Amino acid sequence: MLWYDLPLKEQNAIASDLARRSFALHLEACLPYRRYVDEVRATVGFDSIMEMPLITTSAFKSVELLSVGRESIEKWCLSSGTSGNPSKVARDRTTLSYLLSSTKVGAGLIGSWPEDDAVIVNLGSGGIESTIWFQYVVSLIELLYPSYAVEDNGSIEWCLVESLVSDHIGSGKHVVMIGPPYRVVDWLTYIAGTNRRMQCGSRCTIVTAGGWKKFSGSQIDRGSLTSLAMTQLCLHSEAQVRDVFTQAELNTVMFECVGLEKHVPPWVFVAARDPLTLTPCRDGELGVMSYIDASAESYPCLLLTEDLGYVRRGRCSCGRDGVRLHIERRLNSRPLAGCAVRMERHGV
Amino acid sequence: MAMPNVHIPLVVNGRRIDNLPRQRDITVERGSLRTPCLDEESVTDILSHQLDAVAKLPLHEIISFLYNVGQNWKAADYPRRRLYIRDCVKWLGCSERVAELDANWLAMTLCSQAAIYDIVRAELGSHHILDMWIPQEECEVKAFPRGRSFHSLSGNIPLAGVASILRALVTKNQVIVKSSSSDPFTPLALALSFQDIDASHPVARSVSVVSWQAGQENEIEQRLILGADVICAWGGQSAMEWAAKYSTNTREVIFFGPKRSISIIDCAGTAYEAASRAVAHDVSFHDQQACHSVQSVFVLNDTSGRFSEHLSKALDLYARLLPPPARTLDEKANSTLLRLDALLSRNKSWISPNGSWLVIESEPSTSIQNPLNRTVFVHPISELEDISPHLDSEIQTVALLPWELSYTLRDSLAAAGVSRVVEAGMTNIFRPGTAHDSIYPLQRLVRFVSCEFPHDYRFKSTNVKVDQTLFLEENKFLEFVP
Repeated sequence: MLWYDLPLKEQNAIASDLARRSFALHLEACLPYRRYVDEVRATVGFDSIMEMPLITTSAFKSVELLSVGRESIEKWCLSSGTSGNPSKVARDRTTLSYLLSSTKVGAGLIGSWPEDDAVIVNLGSGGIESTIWFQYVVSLIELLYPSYAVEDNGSIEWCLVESLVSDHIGSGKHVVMIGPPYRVVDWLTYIAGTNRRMQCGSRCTIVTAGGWKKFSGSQIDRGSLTSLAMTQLCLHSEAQVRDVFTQAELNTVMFECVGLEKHVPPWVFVAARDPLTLTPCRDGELGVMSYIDASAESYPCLLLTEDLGYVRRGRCSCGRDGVRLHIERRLNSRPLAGCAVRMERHGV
Repeated sequence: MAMPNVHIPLVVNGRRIDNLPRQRDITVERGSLRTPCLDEESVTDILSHQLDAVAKLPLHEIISFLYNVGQNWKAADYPRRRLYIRDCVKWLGCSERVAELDANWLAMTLCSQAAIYDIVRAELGSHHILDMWIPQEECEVKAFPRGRSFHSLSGNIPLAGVASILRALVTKNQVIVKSSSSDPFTPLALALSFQDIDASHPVARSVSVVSWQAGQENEIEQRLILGADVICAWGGQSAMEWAAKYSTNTREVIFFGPKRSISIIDCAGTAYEAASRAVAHDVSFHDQQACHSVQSVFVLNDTSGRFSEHLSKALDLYARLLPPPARTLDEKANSTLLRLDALLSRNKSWISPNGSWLVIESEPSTSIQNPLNRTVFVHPISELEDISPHLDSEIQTVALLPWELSYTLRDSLAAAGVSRVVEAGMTNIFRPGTAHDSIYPLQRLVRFVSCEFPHDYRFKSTNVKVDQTLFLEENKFLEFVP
């Protein structure tokens, strides 16, 4: 039985237990985290999981957070954010192996095909050696099936991608196309420009991974992307367009089920929190997303993120019980100097 | 049933315009408002407005008119004042106290006749220069309006827009204001209050208030900008880049771009309570949204380490005196994230229970972005020289206590790019004579025209009539070289 088939009560119990163990592990092993907890303990006490001190994701930009010796680190993963100062997250072999196996299992929520019956088309440059988190995660997904990484020096020849997809669909294989939303839009826009439609039917799944903002900062609309995919690729169902969520500071990838909800595995304790008190929000209530990811052993993955979203628990439309998360958007931050905040708030 | 949108008008040459063929919605803090979209006819009206009407008005008549407008604003029961306060509270999320204070300052600004004369004299050399030719050395000089001024406001502080409008009016320019969705009310209320005194007055009729989505002017709206002789651009970097596109050799652009401000406190020379209240004022006024709002405090000789604690208490006081708007989810979250970062870095922090302010004591660092919303970084220092690496031209105002520090520091502050030195607690008061972002804005709103004295004017070092043909014929040039 896979984790997403477990009853909710069992998932919750596992999550609580693992969260406590993770806290205890990093309290013992990570000196900066221990000092931080001591500072927090000086002002407020804590007994429950919800009161465990969380680290901001921005802390990874400036503080080296290690719960193992440096010699154990197999990979330093960098975030691919736009701030110019990436997070640096240290992963040892154990942490990486948890990431790999959880990705393999979680991908089952998207679909499962015999190895010879599916190919992955990566709308990026690929690279298991990459230190950029997004590229690295996609390369792990690529390990599941024969794969093609179609980006070369930052550009893609879309006609070749079209041929690649056509050929594999024609030979009866299932094509899983994975890439950031803007790349998927570029691909679909190319197809639209050819005035041809690809007859993919049920044999193609689009998986978007990465932020939903364009380089210009404007938001890509998911509904529009799905609609474009349905039209240009003649897909049978909107459930053939899925999204995944991850971030460099988290050691788990959350995959969307057929009900288009991202299921959270039980080794991740997730909560949307009140932005001031950090108390948990109700199901469906918007709050600041937090995670305690027990699969990270080399660094304390007790995170308070810069994302706003909500959590739902219970029966999903896919038929499974579980915890699901929805990321609404990134927190609005302000430019460096004053005199410009409110005028930007409403696009003026 | 959907609630109808609230309508706000445009003002075209002093006339209120409520209905035009197209309307658009403006999203403000607490909802949306509906306003007419500018059309060709309105733009033509504005651009064909006779500039002479206000250009030929004597300065005293303009200032008197403004004074009369101000007297209305001074009256607590003035309907337009009450409407303005109500709109700011209802739609912008201001507290009533803050909205009232903004209305009070508007009254003060309009009624301060002496100060307006002083500002004109300080910035232009003489308050007569706008009305008559003034002898200046070997010329007579008069300041003429540039003509048509266009003001793109940021809306972060109401009085900035008022200052922009009044500067243009006292220099006898036509005023076209593009308001911001952050504050669509202040320029409108001001323009309409002119009508309350005298709708046919040249000052009232020289003001237009329009709006469109920032940076997305259509062809009709762009005509208005292209018709301007001078643009006053307020706002962040994107606003400055937008305005720079319109700069030409015949169209002046005055940039009031993003700035921040700091405080320097020597605890050896001032009492903790006085200093902390002064700093709290400079942080809290305009909810830290202004260029002159203090974001960081450098503290010298805080031997007991109590300044931050005193500041926290003072910020609590100001949370009652000038209640902040309700913090958004994003603002609260940003404060919390910053506080946790401070804890991880082992910096002390103080936060108000409802998130209305945050104090973090830390080493000076330029890499931490201040999320504003009354967030103050306190940096204990051991010597004044420790401040130097953290000074740059992005700092507009340095607020000091005790005042004697200014004599020691002002030259080095100025050399580092700072444009304004004030006593702590006074950052929001721009005294007559002050430079705004290192310029005298009135100078940029006028054209100085010189009428030079004729050839037979005897000047300091020469006692002959200037006859250049004769001098050339007699090759006598060098005789006149001092």
